[in-house]
Amino acid sequence: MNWSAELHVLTGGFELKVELGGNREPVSLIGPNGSGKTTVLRAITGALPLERGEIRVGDVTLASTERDVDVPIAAREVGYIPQGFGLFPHLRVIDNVAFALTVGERRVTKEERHAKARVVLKELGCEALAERRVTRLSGGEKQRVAIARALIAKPRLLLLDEPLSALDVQTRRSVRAALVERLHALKQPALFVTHDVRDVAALHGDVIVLDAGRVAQRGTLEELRENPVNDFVAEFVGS
Amino acid sequence: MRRLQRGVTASLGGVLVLLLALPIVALVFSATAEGLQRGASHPMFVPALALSLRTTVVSLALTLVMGTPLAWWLSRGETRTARVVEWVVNLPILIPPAVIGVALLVTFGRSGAVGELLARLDITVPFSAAAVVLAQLIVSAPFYVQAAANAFRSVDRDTLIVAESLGASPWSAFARIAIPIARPGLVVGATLAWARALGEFGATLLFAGNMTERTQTMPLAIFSALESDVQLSVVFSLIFVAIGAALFGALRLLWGRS
Repeated sequence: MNWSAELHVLTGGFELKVELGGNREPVSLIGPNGSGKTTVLRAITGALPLERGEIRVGDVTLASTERDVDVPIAAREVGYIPQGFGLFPHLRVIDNVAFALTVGERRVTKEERHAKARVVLKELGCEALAERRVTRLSGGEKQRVAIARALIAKPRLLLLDEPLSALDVQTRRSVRAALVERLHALKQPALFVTHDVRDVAALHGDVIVLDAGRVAQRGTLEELRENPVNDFVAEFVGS
Repeated sequence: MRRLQRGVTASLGGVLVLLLALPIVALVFSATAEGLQRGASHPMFVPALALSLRTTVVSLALTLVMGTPLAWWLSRGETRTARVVEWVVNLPILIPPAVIGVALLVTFGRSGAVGELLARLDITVPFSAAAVVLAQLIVSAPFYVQAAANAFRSVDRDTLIVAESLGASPWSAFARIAIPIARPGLVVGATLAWARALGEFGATLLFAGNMTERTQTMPLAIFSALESDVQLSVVFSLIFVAIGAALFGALRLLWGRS
């Protein structure tokens, strides 16, 4: 399934104007702090309105200023994993994961949603965490719970905002390897935001370099390293 | 040197604790069992306590219903308008209650800006139970709104976006995610506001008067008792201390659960 996002967003004096997209493989979005990475994700979720643009996943148009389409956040079916994971601190792990099954048309009984949540947690190798409070989890555990919570809703597109930044250097390497493997295994469209080129190297696939709200360059990491369009990209990808 | 610093800090803190506790202890020891019995059966006691509880429950309910959305809006807004509104909301904390009482009279009195309009509809607010509630609302709501806005500021925007992206409506995300996360702060704010409303004196006296069974709340009953019978005012005051302690206990209980 292909996805594309043409985004023109104005927020707090910052202007973002980008075109991005991908297929079933995860795409990396890399850039320094303040380049607009989180703004891209928030715009795709629908939390930030578009001045102009269009967001499509497969045949579905999530937003289009030209066609006056603006699907509400709740109906976009976009899985969002923010920096810090955004877990609900007052709920246990299982209730965090099952949250999507308590609202709207996906609502099912408690037994049913807990059973489904356990299946997803098991797939991610963290079934044992089900009864724990999320405030007592390690960074790596929180990340897996956040992914499980997003996946249970069967999202069209998965958005991950620096999912490794909250981890210490030691655990980061092992968690990165596991996450990359998982993202490739999922075979679903995903946009992986990071400012660390090591995450990009581990993911392979397409890389989009963002600078001050604009796409500076797009390609594989090797292509960017071999032919950077400017000094900024060269410095950022370490060519 | 460090020991000296620690000694000074402990002494200063100790003096404050003593100053805070001493009047309450003195109050407890100055009451007698006979006095308590006499106070509880005094004709002023039950109406004043009932009015205090009734009016503060209403003013607290109004504070929660109107203050929660306002606090939420203040916590999300970074605009100049939000800052101005927050300043206006906090103003009654800085103004003496007596001034609030005068201002309420000027506003809702028969010749006041709003009072004149209400008079045409045959509604009189001053010197009624409604005036008691209004005075309590104005002096206490800022405490709740301030605490609630601070509590809501701790609710991460991304956490709410996640809830909505999982299918929750904005209202559902607010009720099921923002409120529980902010709950400890909301409870503290509500308790402060209730305690402030319960102890409200100056604005009530000026705007609602001190009429037994109509506008005489517990603080006004204590004031009236003090004029004729000190022991009676001690008993009334002790009951107030008990209510304060119960409030504090309830707060700790709710805090512990969150």
